[in-house]
Amino acid sequence: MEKQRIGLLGNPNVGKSLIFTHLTGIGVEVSNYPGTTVHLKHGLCCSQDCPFVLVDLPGLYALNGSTPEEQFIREMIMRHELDSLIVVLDARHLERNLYLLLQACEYDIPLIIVVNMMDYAKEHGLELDLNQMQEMFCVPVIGTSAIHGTNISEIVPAISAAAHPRWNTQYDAHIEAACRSLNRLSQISKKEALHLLEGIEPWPHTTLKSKEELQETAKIITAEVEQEHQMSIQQIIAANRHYAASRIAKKVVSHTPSKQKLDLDYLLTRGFPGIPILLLLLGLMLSIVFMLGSALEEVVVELFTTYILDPLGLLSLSPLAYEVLYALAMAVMAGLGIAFPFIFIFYLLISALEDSGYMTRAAFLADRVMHQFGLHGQVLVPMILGLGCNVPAIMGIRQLNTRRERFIASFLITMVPCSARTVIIAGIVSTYLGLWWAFSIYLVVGVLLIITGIMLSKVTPGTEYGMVLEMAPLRLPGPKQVLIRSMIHIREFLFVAMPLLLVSSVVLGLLGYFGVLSWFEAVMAPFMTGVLGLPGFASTALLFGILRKEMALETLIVLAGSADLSTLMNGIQLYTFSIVSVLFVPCVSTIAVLARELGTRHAILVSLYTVLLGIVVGSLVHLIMSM
Amino acid sequence: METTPCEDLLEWLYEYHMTNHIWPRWPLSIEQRRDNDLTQDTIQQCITNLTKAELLDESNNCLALTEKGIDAGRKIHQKHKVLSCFFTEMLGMKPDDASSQACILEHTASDDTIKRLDTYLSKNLGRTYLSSKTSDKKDSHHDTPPFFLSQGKKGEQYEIIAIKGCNRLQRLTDLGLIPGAHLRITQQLARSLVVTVKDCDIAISPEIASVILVTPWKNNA
Repeated sequence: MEKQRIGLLGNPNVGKSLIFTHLTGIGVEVSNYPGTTVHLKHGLCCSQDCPFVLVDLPGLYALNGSTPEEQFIREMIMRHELDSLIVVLDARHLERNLYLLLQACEYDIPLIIVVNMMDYAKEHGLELDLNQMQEMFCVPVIGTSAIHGTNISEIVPAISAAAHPRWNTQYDAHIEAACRSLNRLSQISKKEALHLLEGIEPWPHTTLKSKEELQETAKIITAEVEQEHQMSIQQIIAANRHYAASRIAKKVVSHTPSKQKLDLDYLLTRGFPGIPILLLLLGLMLSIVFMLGSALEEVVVELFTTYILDPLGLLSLSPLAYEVLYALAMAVMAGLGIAFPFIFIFYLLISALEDSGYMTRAAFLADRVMHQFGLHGQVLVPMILGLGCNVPAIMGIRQLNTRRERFIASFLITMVPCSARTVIIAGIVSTYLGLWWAFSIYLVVGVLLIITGIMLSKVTPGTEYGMVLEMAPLRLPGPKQVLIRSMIHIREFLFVAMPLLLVSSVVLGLLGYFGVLSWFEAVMAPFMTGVLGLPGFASTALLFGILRKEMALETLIVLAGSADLSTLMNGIQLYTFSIVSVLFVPCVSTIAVLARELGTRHAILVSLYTVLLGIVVGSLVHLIMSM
Repeated sequence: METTPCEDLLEWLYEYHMTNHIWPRWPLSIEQRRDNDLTQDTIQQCITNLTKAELLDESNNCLALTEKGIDAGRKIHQKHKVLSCFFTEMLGMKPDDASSQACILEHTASDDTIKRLDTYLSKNLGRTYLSSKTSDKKDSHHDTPPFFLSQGKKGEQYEIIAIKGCNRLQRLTDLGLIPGAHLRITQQLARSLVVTVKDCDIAISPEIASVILVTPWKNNA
């Protein structure tokens, strides 16, 4: 017998993931659903010796929207891919959360209701009558507090009692009339008729001909109703649902006026001290990553060299096999050994920040600055993520609404120094020239980022959409949650960036073996020396850097034949080299993701721009510093 | 029906004022009485009723409609117009018959029926008889003209009147930012806002705030 599939549905930040972790443990499988970009977390759990699969659906505000997530989950429910739902509501914001529940009630799926954060609600002077709610919906209603684990154990036994909720939202007379007309036309249910009116693709079982006919009719009715109300039909339906939700909330929730607003939140979102706190946090985070990452990296590289690279040299392999194996080993070392410590620490910190709810405040604070670039506050989150690895950051800009925003954001994110570039800055500039010089590179990149952003916002066509972002409640992040979240982030690095790393490393190894690299070096040498003032072998290092940023450093060491770079290059050369490789072309993985997300032309454009930027800035640095 | 003659009188007074720009004097002349087709007794009673309903002010021997009375008179007049237009133009009845039928139906047809008929006529003939001035939604707190949320002040409460380009902004609808909803601006940084709707804090960009039309709202509760 196939295992039952139970979906966890709820608004963002209702503690859904925490409940999921409680019920399934840490062994979570994250999968992109085939052909989509929607993340689903799966986990096994057991009810009376009968195992079932729990699916943590992405946080949603509604089921009738057109975002990929909403569309995907809606279709999943309509295709009966889930056997039942656990709808998680936030006790503090019951009214708003009920909006989603009322929509879920309109689908043909049994469900149970979990009202989470009961403890918070109590602290805020809210008293919830869950029995009343149970009577209204005729399905099990469980009040929990996931953070303390209260009542979580009651969820699994209740699943077997999941039922179709007996709730009917009353709609406006015109909407009800429209539903009746559509029903008379082709015997579709009220739910289907509502979908039609909202402009959602009808149920899969309707035949194509009648579907088109129905959509046509629905359009005519919609126009009439909209004229009548001077509101879009979606707004009318939403207003009816919100009204129903507020009526339920009024019956269920009773306030006692002990409400006190958190002052912390007020301070965090003010210009002062909010913005200094944001900058301080970012600076602190970077410093921690910088220091801890470098320390860890040294250990890992040493282990790798002693136990893998050196023994590899001792094996008597054919030169070609050796080259390929060596390249693979180098790629693994670069990915797991060098970038990984930085990325891992970075993601741990960022996940803690995300879980604390602070990121939404940061987005609000950054909104104004981001507008200078034709973007808005929400873009801050992928941009900060870009400090870890550009690849997942670029994947994160899908949530932006307009092509203009995605276009500008992708440019800027590829310029954000990722951890691989941090390795170069740490390994060359910080080691040979000092910490302040290292920070000066961040400063230069920052300034260039701002200039690029302002320039792009002037020339990119299209409109702005702006930010509508719910402020997540502030809370202390739990270690288990943070770990899971960072694992999800790292997964993207491991599964998207790593394979590309391995392949490109082998290709490069082969190129070196067949002598293409030395030819390239000879061709590029005059340019490198003339314009950038760098020794010829630096061009090969930069080329390697395209494939994997941190490899620019390793290659330089290998090519220089000495771990002490200062014997071969002077300070200016080291600085120039670092700044060029930091700016110059995103790595192959980033280019591939750019091509996938925004098209090949866009990827080429970004690459060309960064090459030019790298060369121009590099030659300027060379010129100014040699004077 | 008790109200029918009163409504007739109301309509007649409205029309009289529209053509002559003065109010008729009491008692009415024979000509005037023939015009409105009502008996002296009926008129006498209607005047009492209308005055009680504060639709009519008969001081100074002058039958003047109050502001409320003018609104009511206009409404009946418009109903008559819509109906008679429908009868003549769409059903092909003779103008006189149409007018007398309209006289009967104008008292029983609901506002909604008339509104729908008017919409129908405006679609088919490009004519409309219902002026927007008859809005009966004139709430006391809508006195100030609506403005965009971006002009709102921190700490103040507002009611949403309308959202421009509403279909594009599905997320606003999901979060409960719909016409009729109440919100409070809790934080303001540059032109970005944090608003509280249904007890939830939502950050919105200036360009979003400038499509939301609001009017001040006082929470009486």
